[in-house]
Amino acid sequence: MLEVNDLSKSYGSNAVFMLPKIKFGAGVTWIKGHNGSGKSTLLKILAGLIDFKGIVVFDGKVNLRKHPIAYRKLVNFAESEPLFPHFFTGWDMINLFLKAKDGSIQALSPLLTDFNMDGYLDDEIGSYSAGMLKKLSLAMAFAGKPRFILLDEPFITLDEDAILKLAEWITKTMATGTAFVITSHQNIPPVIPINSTLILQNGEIKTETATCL
Amino acid sequence: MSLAKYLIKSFGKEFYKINAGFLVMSFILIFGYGLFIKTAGHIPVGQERTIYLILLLSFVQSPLITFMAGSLWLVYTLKCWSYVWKTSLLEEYTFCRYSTNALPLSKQFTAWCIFQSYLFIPLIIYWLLATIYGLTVDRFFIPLLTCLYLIILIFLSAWIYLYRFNFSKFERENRFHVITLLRKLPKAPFNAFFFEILLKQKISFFMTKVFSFSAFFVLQTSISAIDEPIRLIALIALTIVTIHCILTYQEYRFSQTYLYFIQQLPYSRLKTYIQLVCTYFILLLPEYMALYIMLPLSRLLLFLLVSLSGLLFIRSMLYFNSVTVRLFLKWVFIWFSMALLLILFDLTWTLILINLIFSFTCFYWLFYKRSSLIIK
Repeated sequence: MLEVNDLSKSYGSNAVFMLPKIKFGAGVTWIKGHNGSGKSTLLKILAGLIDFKGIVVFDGKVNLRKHPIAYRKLVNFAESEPLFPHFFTGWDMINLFLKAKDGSIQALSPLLTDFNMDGYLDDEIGSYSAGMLKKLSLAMAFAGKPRFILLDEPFITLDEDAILKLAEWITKTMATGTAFVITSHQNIPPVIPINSTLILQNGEIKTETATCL
Repeated sequence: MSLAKYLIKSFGKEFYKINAGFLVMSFILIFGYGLFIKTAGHIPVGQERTIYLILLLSFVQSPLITFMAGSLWLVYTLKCWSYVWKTSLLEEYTFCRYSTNALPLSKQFTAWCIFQSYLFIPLIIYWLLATIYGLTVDRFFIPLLTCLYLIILIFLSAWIYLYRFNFSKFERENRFHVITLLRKLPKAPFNAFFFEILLKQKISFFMTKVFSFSAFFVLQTSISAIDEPIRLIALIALTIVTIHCILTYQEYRFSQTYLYFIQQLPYSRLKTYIQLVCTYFILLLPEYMALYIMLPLSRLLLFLLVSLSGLLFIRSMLYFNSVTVRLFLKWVFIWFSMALLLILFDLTWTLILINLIFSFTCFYWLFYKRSSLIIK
């Protein structure tokens, strides 16, 4: 379980949100919210990419600040619009993530095939379309043995086939005990069972169906 | 909006943004050369203005310097052409590709001339200053000749752009790319910046190295007889660090823009810091190799420690939020002055220690403290 306490974030004098207590449990948590409500910022904080005030802790033991390495082994993240060096190839990035996250290419290969990525992973990222880049970023989020996967707007720029494949992979991975936090403007494909829906609005979080304390 | 205004707004401003590092570095290196290296750091009282004018004077008086400046202008012009040629292929300029050629050629030509003059602003300012100075010392021929040269370059550029937007095909050329050669090479965060240099920062890197080696030879020959060897080595290392400040700034920005994902990987901060040390060691490797041939090992070790720790120190200053190039250069200058004092008082080892402790502490405490992923 991923838990945040007294989490706040501001950019200069603009407060983005102040979240007293949220628990992200098993299954899929869907975070909704209008543009600029802070959904991506929240995910970047949970991924350890940007600074914040408050506490983020996994399973009551692994604190994001105090145990940065252990936390990052357990939590993976795919950004909405990632930026990688244009001269890296897809394989360069995948190998880097697999090595860092103790993952194996055997486990990831079926996902790469499902996403039809085999044909372009040898090419430089600079030559990728938005959809190809998105698939790469999503594939890297499944590298290793994460207990939590954070996906920021995972369905944008993907074609219909890739959306269905991603939904299958989320469901399949969820069955192995990995939980997901997803932000999405679009409706999430019905094949994915949603355990909890949260709405981030005016710097506060409200629950639509379940576990927000 | 007139075509000239549109071209300046769409192509021109972006050109300056992309080449800001190159332009600032050229400015610093040229004036740094005039002020510090040519004078070996000694500027007699009351002669500052004379020293400031050395470069301008050389430009209007010495045909050799005029020829060198002219060659540099030509390189700059080629850079402008290459920029417009490549940028015109981008998606966002599709509208420009298919609309500019609706105007009569004469109007397009005038607009491109204005556009090229906008890109030439740094050259025009330099030419203007030199010409004013030339007029005061009755030198007319070279300013007149270089004015003609500038006009020819502007007309030629306008003609090239005119050809590009009216008569050439907008297709990606199927030519040899360096990137194809690099495809198979192993890439990791610590060597990523060198690929960036090879692909995008060649000129900055080349100029930095030219000035770095020039500084080394000038300092070595001019003050070796009057100073102690250890002090001299430390002083050379300081100068070389200062010359590398723009490359350091570019490396930092590159890391913050494209390698931020490292923060989400389970790497220890110590490991990441060691990778950074490796990056800067490789950056200074040409200097180390040259010195290995010329100096005993003990002095090379001292040079290595002063230069490497110095670069890590100035880089760590960038971790503080909102550091602009201007502010960074001021801080580098302050660091240079303080470090120079320590060297003059034979406290070189203290300097190394301060540099390393400061850089590692900043890195360790501020690595995860990035407030946003947006680069200003």
